Amino acid sequence: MNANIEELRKGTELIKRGFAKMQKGGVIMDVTSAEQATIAEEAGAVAVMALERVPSDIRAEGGVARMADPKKIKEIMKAVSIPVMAKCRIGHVAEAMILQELGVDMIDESEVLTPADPFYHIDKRNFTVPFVCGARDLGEALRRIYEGAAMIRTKGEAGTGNVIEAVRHMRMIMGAIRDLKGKSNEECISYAREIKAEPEFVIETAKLQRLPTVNFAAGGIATPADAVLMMLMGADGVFVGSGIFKSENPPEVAEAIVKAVANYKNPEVLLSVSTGLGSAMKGLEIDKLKESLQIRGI
Amino acid sequence: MCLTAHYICNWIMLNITIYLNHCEFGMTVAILSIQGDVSEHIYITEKTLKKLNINEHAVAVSSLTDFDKHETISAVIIPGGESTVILKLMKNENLLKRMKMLSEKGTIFFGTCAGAILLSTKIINSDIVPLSIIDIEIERNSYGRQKDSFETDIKIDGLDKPFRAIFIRAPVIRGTGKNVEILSTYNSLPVLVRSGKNMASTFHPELTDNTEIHELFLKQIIKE
Repeated sequence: MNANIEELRKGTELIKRGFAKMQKGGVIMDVTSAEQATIAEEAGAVAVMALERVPSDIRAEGGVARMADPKKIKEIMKAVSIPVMAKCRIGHVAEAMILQELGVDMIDESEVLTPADPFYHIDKRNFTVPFVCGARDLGEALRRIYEGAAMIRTKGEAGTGNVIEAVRHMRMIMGAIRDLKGKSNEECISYAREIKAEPEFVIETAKLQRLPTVNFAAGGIATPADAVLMMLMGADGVFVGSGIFKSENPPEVAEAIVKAVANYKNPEVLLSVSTGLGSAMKGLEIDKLKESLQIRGI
Repeated sequence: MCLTAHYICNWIMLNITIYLNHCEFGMTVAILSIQGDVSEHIYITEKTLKKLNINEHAVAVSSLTDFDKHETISAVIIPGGESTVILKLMKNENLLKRMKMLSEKGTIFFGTCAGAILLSTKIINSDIVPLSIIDIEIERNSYGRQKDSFETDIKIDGLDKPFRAIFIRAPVIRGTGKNVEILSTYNSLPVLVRSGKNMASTFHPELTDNTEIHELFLKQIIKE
């Protein structure tokens, strides 16, 4: 072989972020069984998130929410050919090690599960598997990217079926990025201190006029219209949690959200997929929540 | 009488304006924008067109209406993403038929990863009939899951230096028809192929800054 040919490398930053880029324009769905995973795949999900319980059940039942049993995740991995993601607790390096060993395609270090570390997130640069993390504003997003997240999603307020918090977080992130437009490096460095982010990443974000990684919407998306609202605000794609399998017609709702996201600028398609879907998940008002998940791990 | 003429004149002007708004003159490189890394392809295509001094633009197309807006599409690029999702949504939209028609009329195609699956004649272990523009048999996720994704330097016919190739849950080309030229292999399996002027790669040249593979493809739209 030619001496110039460099050897093979796995788990690099390029490969991790590259994987996230392949999800763009897609819908990632929460599933709790192989059957649900198959329904999601047939509906056109770009990936599935394997869970023990969907966020709305975690909220209702309480208790400590942990990583799902690897046996269940394995069953889901066997059932579908699309990527399978799984959640670990914030800061729980050991759960992340187990999920990487299991071979999931992406790990969500998620506030939906009960946090394991009161101080730190996982140093995700030490892993070869890509990570996605939640964020409420630009500072949080860039801190997670610095730690090695290959994908960012809004936190929203999971398990509520109420889109307002996802909208709030997307507005916070996108607004801050727009404010950075045309700022000098000095201004970016000073702003970085203010939002507790790495200056280098603030400068990069100002220049790119977007996050350096893919940015999805998540946390409270329940209908095709919710998903489209997030796409119109600049999301690269959406996660739908309880919204699908807590609705009256999961396969129809799943397919409707996929079509809506793919055609988010086309009102004709949106009207057609939104018509006659049956009742969506019931949903909760944010003011009346006992517990806010979004303040975990900031 | 004069007033009628005035109305007719206005009506004609209005229609011309509508027509101009809906038609972009000149040639276009269409990037299929159903799902996947569309913006990366738009970026590298624009960069390549500029470098080659070709007076065309890269435009995202996602529906039949989008295709109708462009008078001449000289090339179509199909990005990476989830091939199952892209194929499912295209069937709904009747886009497969339209793309096949464009190919028959001389538009050239380039597909990367999921795009290569769409251009193939047969997807192994699947009943879905893809575009059949390049005579290859292809197997999805053939190297394994994301943990088996890799980057490596490969040698490509027509390029002097090795090319950094990014393979993400990549497919493998298991068979090639007799009109298919193999431009590069990795572990003796084809990873970049050409059939006529249509090309397919199982890796992602759009994830690097290197425009050389896009140059190989887009050079072909220059009329001699």
